[in-house]
Amino acid sequence: MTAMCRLVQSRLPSRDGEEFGGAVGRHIESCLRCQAEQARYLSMRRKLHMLEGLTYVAPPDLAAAVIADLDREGAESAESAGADVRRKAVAAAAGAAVVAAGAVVVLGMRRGRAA
Amino acid sequence: MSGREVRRYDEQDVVDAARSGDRGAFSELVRAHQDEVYTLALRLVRDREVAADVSQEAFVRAWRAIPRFRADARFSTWMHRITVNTAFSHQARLRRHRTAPLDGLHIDPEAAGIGPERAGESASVRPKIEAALGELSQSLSSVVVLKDVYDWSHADIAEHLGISVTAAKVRLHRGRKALREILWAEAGDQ
Repeated sequence: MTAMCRLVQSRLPSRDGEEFGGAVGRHIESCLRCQAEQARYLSMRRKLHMLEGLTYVAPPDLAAAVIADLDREGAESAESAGADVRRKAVAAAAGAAVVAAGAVVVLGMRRGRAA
Repeated sequence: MSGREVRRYDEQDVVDAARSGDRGAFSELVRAHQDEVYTLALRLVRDREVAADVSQEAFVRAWRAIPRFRADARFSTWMHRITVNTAFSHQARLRRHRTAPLDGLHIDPEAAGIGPERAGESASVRPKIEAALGELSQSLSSVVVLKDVYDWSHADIAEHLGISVTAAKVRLHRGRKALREILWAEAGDQ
């Protein structure tokens, strides 16, 4: 193996299939060992890419488990929305009570002054 | 129902319904994409039970995020990104809690249940290449899987793994080199 072969083999794992140019390209054209190595990397990448369309079958209960999670989450958010409405109603009632109490005090003071 | 069947009657309508809060429509998307999501998770975490947990969590995260899903994007591409994020955050949590390393766990294609789709097409290639991927350390195989199987860019891989683009390229180089050695060492370097 020549120094140029070692250079080619150190660069092949980073290539995405593009051709080498210049002296490296000329070396590959004349070197069977480097041509074979380049072919191995191309073959490996082609096989890896084939895997994308090949799926494993998900566990049969996966979809049901996801849907159960969504139902639980929906119920919890409805519950927290209900609690929010109750909190707002209590706050509104408390506010109204304060306003009413204030009005009673003001009326009482006016009556006191009038007497 | 397969992913292809859903696409046939226009998946966009189902996605739009799910975006407006239709849980039935989202359930349909889950059933259509569960195999591809599970497969991606399995290739990243290399454990069937963990992959099932990751897939489940990924779909729940997707449901929460679907109102923000851009209508011009592909649902499967978006789902892949969520799955990768979920797998890595799941792995980070597991690393904090378990003492045994996850590296070295192999996918057993028969036990995992290979989909019938194109099963014959690559019957001889698939087990060998999946087993070779299983021999790589997880940090190397994740990068090889995302780049060479799913065609992700270096920048996307770096972003999802929380590493620099240079580090992603170095891992890819090391991963491919190791994979080549595993694949051709068995055949006597033919």
